[in-house]
Amino acid sequence: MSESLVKVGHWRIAVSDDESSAAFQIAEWLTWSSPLSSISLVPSVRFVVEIYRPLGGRNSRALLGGELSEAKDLSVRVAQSSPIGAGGEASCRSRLGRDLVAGLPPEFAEAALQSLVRCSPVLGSGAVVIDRAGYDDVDSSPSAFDHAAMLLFRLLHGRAVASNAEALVEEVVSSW
Amino acid sequence: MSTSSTSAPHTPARPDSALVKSFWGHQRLHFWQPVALVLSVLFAVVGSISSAAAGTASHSVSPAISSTMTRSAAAPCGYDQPATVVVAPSLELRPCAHVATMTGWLPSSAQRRLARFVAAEGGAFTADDLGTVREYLSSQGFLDDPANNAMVDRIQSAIDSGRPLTEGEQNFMTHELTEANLVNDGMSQEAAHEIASGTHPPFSNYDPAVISQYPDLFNENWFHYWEGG
Repeated sequence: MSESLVKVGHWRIAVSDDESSAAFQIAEWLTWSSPLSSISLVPSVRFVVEIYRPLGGRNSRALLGGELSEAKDLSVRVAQSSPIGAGGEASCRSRLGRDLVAGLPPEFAEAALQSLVRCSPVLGSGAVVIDRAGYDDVDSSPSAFDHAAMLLFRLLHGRAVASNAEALVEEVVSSW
Repeated sequence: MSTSSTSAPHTPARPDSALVKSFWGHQRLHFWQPVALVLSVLFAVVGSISSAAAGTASHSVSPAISSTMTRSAAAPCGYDQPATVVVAPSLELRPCAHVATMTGWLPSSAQRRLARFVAAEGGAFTADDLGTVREYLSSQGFLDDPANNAMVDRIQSAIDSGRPLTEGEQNFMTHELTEANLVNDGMSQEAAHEIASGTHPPFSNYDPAVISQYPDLFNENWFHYWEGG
């Protein structure tokens, strides 16, 4: 497995090909689709990103992963888990801090979907599926998942190699 | 373009009837734990009075504010923070061994909360304390966060006007002063944050007005805490 750790300003970012412990029980799918605007047939690519920023009274944390695959139209599907609770089992491995709870509660899934939808039209065509996620019951927020989705999309779209994703990560995170 | 969702209604978890929510924290404890804790506090108070009468100050809560986060060698279960923590120049933490020994069987999180409860008794934060917090947050780049900025502004306004700090404001000050002093003593920010997080119940160190002002920066657990959920 290829992985990369990057520090940009106050943010710490981890990028990897996949993280199996971030798979979770899917309660439902949030979906978005758009009429075909152009055809760009490409091989599938998968990434997992984790973001972490200390803020003093709390941190900003999110882990999100998924796949971009060839498709004849443009679509985004985000797997959603059960709602957030306090004290969930931290079974999702973190590369940046204490382990996370595997899952994508509705408030985070919606933030991730909105972020991906904002970015997706540049794809032309392709299917984005988000099926890996981890959160911290104190430190995760919709804003953190918005950022994570934005970064994940850029990596998927750029088909970066995880071990060589630093330049792309720096470009995206510097804009936060 | 279309967006669709088939999600079920979001229903907050219902409290377990066998458990009660403790008055000092978010953690749900069994019904006998708060009772035992109250007895422990009574023992601690009696012990403090006895110590004062005997001419020792080691167990008392000083008028200049103070408390304890000390590990007693005999404590059956220990704290996970250093032996002595100085929260702030005006919040000198003093040994209070009764708290450690009489409540040693409690979960460490509850012990920390009790220690903090004792610390806050009679305490008030000053403009100097806020200056320390502001300087620390700025030095770490944490004032980029609008919620931190809003908290500092609220607390400044309260100090200027003489308004008592709200629970969230007090917890914010205690958390940041603890973290600042530990970092200034050489601890990593991450480790200091973990310890500082033990000085108050989870989700309670930002005022609910600030959480509502910046809902994207907080998850639903923060809202549930202040809604009493």
